Amino acid sequence: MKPPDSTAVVGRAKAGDVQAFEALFRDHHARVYNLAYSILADRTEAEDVTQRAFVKAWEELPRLREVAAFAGWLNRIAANLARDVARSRAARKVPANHSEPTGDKADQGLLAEERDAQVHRAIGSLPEHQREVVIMYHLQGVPVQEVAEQLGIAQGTVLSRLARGREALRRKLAPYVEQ
Amino acid sequence: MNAKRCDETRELLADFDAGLLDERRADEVTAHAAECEACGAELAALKRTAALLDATEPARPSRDLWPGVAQKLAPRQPSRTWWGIPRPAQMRLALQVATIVLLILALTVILPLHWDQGPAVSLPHAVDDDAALFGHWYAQASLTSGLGNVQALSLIAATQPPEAAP
Repeated sequence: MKPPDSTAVVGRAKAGDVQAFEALFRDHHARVYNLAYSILADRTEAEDVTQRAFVKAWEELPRLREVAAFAGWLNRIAANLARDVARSRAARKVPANHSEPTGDKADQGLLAEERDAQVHRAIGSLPEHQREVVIMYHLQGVPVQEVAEQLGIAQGTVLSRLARGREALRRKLAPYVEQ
Repeated sequence: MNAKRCDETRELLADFDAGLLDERRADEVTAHAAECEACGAELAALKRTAALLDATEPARPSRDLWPGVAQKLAPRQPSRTWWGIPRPAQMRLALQVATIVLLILALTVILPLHWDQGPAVSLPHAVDDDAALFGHWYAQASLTSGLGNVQALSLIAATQPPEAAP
C-alpha cells in the first residue's frame, strides 16, 4: 500500500509540486475518506472533509518537519475537520444522513451494507489513535510494518493499539460477533 | 472455574490475539481458554471481531475528489514574517546589509589602523615586474575573451606594463 519512496514524493509536494501532491492524494485519500466517514457516518460530509483536509494539507505542508510521518499528520488534519463538522451538526441538531439497521430486510446485500455501516460507526467511536490503525490494517489491508512506517510509530505500538481497538469493537459489535 | 483466573485471562485475551504475549503467558492463555468455556467463547468472539473487520468493505467516495481539491490549491506562497517580507527576500536583504556593514567597517576602522604601519612588504623588482607584465597581458586577453569590460579595463589601469629594458 505504501508507495515506493513516498518520503521523496512528500518532499516534492512540500516544495510546491502539484503533481507530487496529486500522487499523495491518490495514495492516501481512501484512508482519509474512511477516517472521515467513520466519524461522520455521512458520505457527502466525508467527501467534503476529505477534500478540505487535502487542501489544508497543501497549505500547511511547508511547515511539516517530519515528512516520514505525513500519513499520521494528514489523519489528524482530517479527524479534526471531521470532528468540527460533527460538532457543528450536533449544535444544529441535524442527524447523520444514514439509515439505522432494521434487521428484517430480506436482501442480504442490504444486510451486509447495514452491517458495514454499523462497523464503520463503531470504528468511528474509537479513540483516534486506535481508529487510524484499525482502518489502515483491517479495512485497507496495510501490513503492520507499513502502518508503523506511515504513522511513524513502532510495530509493537501498532499491535497494541489494534488489540485495544478490537477489544472495544468486540463489545460495540456484540450482536455480530457473539454466538 | 477459578473466577480470578478468568479475569486475569480475559485481560490478556486481546494482547494474546494480537500476538503480543511472551511464550509462557501465551501458553497459559491457550490452556485456560481450552478448558474454560466462557473464556474460550470470549477469545472466539475477539477472533470473529477481527474477521468481521477484515470482511467490512471500506467506504468509497461516490466520485473522484481530486478535481475539487486541485481547483482549490493556491500556488505555494513563500512563508512570510510578521512585517510581510517573504523569508527568501528577507535572507537576501540580511546578507546584503551584513556585507555593506562589513565593508564600511573595513574601510573606516580596520584599514586606517594598518595604513601607517611602516613600509609595505614589496617583492623584489624582478618578481614585481614579471607580475605586473603578467597582469597586463592577462587583462588585455580577458578584454577580448569575455571578462567584463569594466573589470578588464580596471585591471589594465592598475597593472601598467614595466618600463622596457634599454
